[in-house]
Amino acid sequence: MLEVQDIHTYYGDSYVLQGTSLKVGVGSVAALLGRNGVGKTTLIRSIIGFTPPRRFPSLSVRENVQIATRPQAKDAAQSWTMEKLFTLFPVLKERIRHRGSKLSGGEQQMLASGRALMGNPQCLLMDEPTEGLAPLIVREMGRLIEQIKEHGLSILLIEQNLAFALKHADYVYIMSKGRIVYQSSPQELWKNAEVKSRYLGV
Amino acid sequence: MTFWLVQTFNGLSFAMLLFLLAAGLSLIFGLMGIINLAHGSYYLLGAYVGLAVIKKTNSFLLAIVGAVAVVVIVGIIMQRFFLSRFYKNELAQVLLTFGFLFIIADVALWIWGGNPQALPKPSLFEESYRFGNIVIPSYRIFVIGVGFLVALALWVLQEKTAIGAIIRAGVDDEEMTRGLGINMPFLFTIVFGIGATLAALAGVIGGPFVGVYPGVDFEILLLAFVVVIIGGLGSLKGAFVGSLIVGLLDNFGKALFPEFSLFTIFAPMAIILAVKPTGLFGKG
Repeated sequence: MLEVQDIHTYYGDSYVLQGTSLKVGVGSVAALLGRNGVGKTTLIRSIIGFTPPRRFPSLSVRENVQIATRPQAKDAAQSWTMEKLFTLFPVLKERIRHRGSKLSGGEQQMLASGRALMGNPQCLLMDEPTEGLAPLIVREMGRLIEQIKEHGLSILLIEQNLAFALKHADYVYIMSKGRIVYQSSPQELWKNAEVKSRYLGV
Repeated sequence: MTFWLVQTFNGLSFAMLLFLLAAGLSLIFGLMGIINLAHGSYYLLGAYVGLAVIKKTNSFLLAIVGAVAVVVIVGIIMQRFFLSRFYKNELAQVLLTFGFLFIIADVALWIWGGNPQALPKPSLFEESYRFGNIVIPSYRIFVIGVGFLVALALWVLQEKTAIGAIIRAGVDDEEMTRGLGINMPFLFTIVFGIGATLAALAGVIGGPFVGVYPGVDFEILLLAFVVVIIGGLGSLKGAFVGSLIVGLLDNFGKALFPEFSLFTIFAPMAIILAVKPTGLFGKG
């Protein structure tokens, strides 16, 4: 679905991505792990051209969702609608009139994910969707990822939360200093204590 | 008492005229970051075209339609073919629009001459109302009404419609809006067109009491900028409140201390900026 081959990215003189390659299969979740500053967000930036912020502060929840809506041309019945989205995120329905600036961190993350779904994409890039979320909301986010997967979408999940990534990913990559240094199934990584301690510090 | 009431009315109608200009100026700056020094030229051009149409057809309504059509075409050509090349380059934009200000002023001088002219009032609003010993021309009431209506319409457009939500999204974060697959260049042209429409409208309805003459473009631009600076860049509410402040100050300043009329505008502006550098309703 998404394949990145040998990306090299520079910020001025600093050589950030040093030939990164990875692949996300159709309908699967690939997780990209690594410590702060190894180039994970730079990779997203290199793929889509900019780093997405979370939400528009002056728009209400409804408007945030509305302006992102792009029905799927082939099959309108399969398209995401506001009703479908609100069964997935009941909290957002309660906040429908609130402005983006008035949402909690978790609500903002849900809104950002929901808004991305409304465009009916085939592939999602999620940059630390669990960052700063309470454990309960993290579980919600996991449930969401499973549901998105059931809809046949592919996801590139960038995470610092190892347990979360291992639980939901079909395949994992580890990045260090701008390179992919390790890749395997989540089970294999779970068993590999040496890789975990060297690159992730756990 | 009579003096205060009459001057308040005059100030209010001038304020509404300034609002038509400042709303467009502020919206364009808020969304695209463009500082359009030729915005006053749209007023000038709108007034002259309106005058020419009235002379031919005797219709105030057609004058508005004609002025808006011509000014919107000029504005869109400026935006699409010139300003869009200098996106986020303020110095180039300022120089470019300053150049347009001179070109439009000289072309207008060449076509319409240098004598001050005034548009005739529409026949519907010729009369004046008398309240006791106060006389209020009905045309002033009409101008105030137009200002309030436009303010209401813009508020509804910005807060209640899908395109308004997209404009606000663009003001919040232009890159992310583009990322959602929204055609920003098209949106820019629409907003620029709305700004040009309002300035042309101001030219025609301001014609009967401000008049049109070489230099009015610069004078009105200066006041519109003061409004936008006082109200806060990119804020519709700011443009409205700023217009009321500047319109009333300008009017009372000219009536009470004619020799200090600029001082009565710029001193309050300096005080407001000292207290709140982003303007009354500006962000950041």
